[in-house]
Amino acid sequence: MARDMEGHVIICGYGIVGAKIAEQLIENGINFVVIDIDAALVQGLKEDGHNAICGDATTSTTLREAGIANAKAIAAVLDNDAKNLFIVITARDIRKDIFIATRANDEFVREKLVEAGANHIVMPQVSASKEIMKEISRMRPK
Amino acid sequence: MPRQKESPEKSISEKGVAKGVALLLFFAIILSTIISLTVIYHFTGNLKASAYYTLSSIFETNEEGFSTVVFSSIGMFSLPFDAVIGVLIIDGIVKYMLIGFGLAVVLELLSGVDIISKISDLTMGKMSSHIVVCGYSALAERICGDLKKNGIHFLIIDKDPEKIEDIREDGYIPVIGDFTEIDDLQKAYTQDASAIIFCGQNDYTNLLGVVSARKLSKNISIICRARSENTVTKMHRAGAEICIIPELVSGLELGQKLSGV
Repeated sequence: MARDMEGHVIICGYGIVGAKIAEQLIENGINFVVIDIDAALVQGLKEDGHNAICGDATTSTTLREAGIANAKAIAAVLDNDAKNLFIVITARDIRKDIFIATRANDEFVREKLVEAGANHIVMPQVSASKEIMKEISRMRPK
Repeated sequence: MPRQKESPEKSISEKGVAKGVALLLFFAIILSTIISLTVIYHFTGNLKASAYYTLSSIFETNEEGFSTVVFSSIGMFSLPFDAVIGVLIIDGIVKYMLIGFGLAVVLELLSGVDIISKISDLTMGKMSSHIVVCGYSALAERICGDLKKNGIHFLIIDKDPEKIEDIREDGYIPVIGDFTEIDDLQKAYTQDASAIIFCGQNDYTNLLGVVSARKLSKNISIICRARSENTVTKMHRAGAEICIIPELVSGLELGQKLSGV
């Protein structure tokens, strides 16, 4: 049962970001629980041997079911800034000390996530732009 | 960020009103000048002096008294001049208004010439080894900001008129066109560019753009944004050197961070 797990990571949303996080955690031998609203996706994860819960990650009930009481970190990585903000606020209300990582699509939301208590925020456009600039610097003659 | 646009119907009627008012004032100054000239001539009996006073009425409005000083010192018409100073002040006010509206009409005409576009065209023509950014999405906005910080010249192609306005407001050079079309890529001097970056919202249009760009230039470096890993292979086959999925890059960063907590 996910509720009884300890020292694990909760991944809210199993899209491209969530899947990549899971891949990294598996490589590093870290346990995780996925929360997603898509029942078919959750079933597929369970069949692959992963812990997964079908539910709404914005509710405290679902987060408690995912074992937030003893988790070391939570990743709010839905493709919806408002829902991610909700998850951050809810998680911080339940656990004052948990590490919260999340994503934002614009600067305004990023500030709100920091105020809500997120510890680490990524912005896909910023990350991609940095990578592109590295490639451009490599391509262009000095 | 959403931006408001002026409706074309409103701008056309405003321009018409401005031009109408300018014409009215032009006739007002002619009439005012004729009245001033007539009144002053009545007092002075000298047409040349009357013309002098009328032309200098703008100074009288300021109460600088330029012509008062000049003509009083010469001892000419000092008495009749005082009698007509009120007329000269009114005439001067009308002239000030004409100058103001005249300037407004000139500015209106200049804005119709779309000078900014002409300057952009001149700047574009001198570009080479620049970067072409296709599609002004949120990702493109971020990339353009970073390119500008690094002093790299670039152009942006987009076909959406609202995006074109956004590009201009952000201080960049837009090219109106469809980045999947070779002709429009040529408008951005893609054949002389060092790299092209496809930032469209849609993998299909980005892929088409890659194909067109590669057809136009064998040497250009093509960077493309993709939304799924399935598309990456297709992009590479079409000629893109680098294919980036922003969410994947973020996921990698977060995964590494969470592994170290």
